[in-house]
Amino acid sequence: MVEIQRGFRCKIDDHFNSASEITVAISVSGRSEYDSCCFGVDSADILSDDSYMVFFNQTASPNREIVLSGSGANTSYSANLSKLPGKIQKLVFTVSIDGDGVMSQISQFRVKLSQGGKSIALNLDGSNFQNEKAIIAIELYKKDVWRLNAVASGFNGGLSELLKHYGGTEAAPPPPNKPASQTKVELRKGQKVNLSKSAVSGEILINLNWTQGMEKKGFFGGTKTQSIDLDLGAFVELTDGTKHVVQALGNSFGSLQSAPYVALDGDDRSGSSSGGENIRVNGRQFSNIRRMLVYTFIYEGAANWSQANGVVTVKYPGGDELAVRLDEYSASQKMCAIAEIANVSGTISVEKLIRFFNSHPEMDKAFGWGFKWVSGSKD
Amino acid sequence: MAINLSKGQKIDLTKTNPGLNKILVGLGWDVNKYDGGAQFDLDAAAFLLGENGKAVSDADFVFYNNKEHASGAVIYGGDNRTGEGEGDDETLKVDLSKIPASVAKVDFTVTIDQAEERNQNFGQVDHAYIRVVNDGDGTELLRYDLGEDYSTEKSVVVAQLYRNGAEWKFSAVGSGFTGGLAALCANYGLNA
Repeated sequence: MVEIQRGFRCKIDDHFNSASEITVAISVSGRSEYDSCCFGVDSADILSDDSYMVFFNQTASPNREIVLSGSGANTSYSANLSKLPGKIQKLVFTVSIDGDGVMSQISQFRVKLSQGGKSIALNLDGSNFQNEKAIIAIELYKKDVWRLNAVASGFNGGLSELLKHYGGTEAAPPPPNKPASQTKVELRKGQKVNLSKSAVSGEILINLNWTQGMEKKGFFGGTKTQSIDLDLGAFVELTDGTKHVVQALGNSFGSLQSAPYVALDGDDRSGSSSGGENIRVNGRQFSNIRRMLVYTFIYEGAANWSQANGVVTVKYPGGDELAVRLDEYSASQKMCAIAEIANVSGTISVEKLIRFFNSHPEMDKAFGWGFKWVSGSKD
Repeated sequence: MAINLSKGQKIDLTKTNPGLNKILVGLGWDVNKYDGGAQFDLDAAAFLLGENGKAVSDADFVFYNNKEHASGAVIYGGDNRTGEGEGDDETLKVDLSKIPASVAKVDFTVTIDQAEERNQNFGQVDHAYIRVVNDGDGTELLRYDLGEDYSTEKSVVVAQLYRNGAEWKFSAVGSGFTGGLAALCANYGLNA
């Protein structure tokens, strides 16, 4: 264990192997609520790609180079510096105060970097700070080689001031969880919506609608785009412990009247069907469902989410509608976990996920489902 | 075209620039990036040293409280308290022709004011450099960027001008000290 001071700098390879995973654990104790965030900025110190902002609403970067675990005052990141894309030149690890309080009131602030049996720790307390509401705990940055700077300095203006420093802006406040009926709610990533028990009666409809070839065509109809086949699917776990896969691949379309009480209505192979693909959940049997993972994947064609113009909506009795637009994402993986629907003591909880994976087994592992996977193809 | 030096490099100053006497030594840094916490106040200084690397008296230490050496050879350009603005943060004017014969070398240093009280160090400073400009025509002759090598040091000996026969040479020293200004003075044989 190497104890370091604020301002300490070193080359990562002086202590660790920068080509392997490094764990950055940040813990704060004090009277406020604390949030941690890690974001990757470019050589101009600008947060030019907000998919490299890893925080409670987005717990991993696109290729899982940075993965967050824990929450609030005790967070831990695993960072694979060598796997980051070249545009990401610096990882900034921050702590911010949510609500009242300033950093001089904290009783302990600790950042520990570790790899294998080696570790470096920065221990500070409130006497090291003044009226900051957001601080940069450490930076891992690349200047010829990857380096550490124990910054431990920050902004009185809080997280929004910190983000402004890196050319980013804080998202507008989220919409309220219970808007007037018949409105479309775009969930923030990680945001959960709980539906009242009364809502669980009719059916929950999960719709994937997509079109392709929205790209501008040449005068003579040139620039033929490769066709894409986007599929909708769900993992379903029932309260009896059985687990089911509902998707067109493998012809497991499910059933509404018998287990898993979830069914896929068809397979739109080209994006031409105006209604798209629908997964229905039998609301009257919802008590038999423990949880569902809704996902979409590109069965054929390149992983070009922006071209497929996919929109997944989740509709349920009561009129609210959750929408997730997939064309906002530029992931290179072919599979996207959209939302988790859980039965929380009888009420439906819907959480937007948006995490990209290369395959069913990879996604399965990430969410702890435990299916056995064999490769398959459509007829 | 200015010559960029790297740490430890030594280079002829007057030999390659015949007739050069009046130079401006400019030092710059980026601090106070964050709006919270204490302000950073970095100070440049010059120590006029004998062959043994020691100053004879306090008068040979030119800094914000002793702005001009008795010989008129080194003049402190003024105290910048915040490091704000583009270009040099602090400057010292040196007239090589006026440097007393007893002075064999002149060290240029940067220290952090109240570093102990504010718990500050050079790891929190970015883009520090020193440059030597021909004060006659404003041409930049040498530049040394200090880079990423500083951590918890509280003072840095940035560079040294030293006699080599009848000529002056410039050395990009870049040595950090964990002590502050007082420790630096002690190093030069002064009781600050």
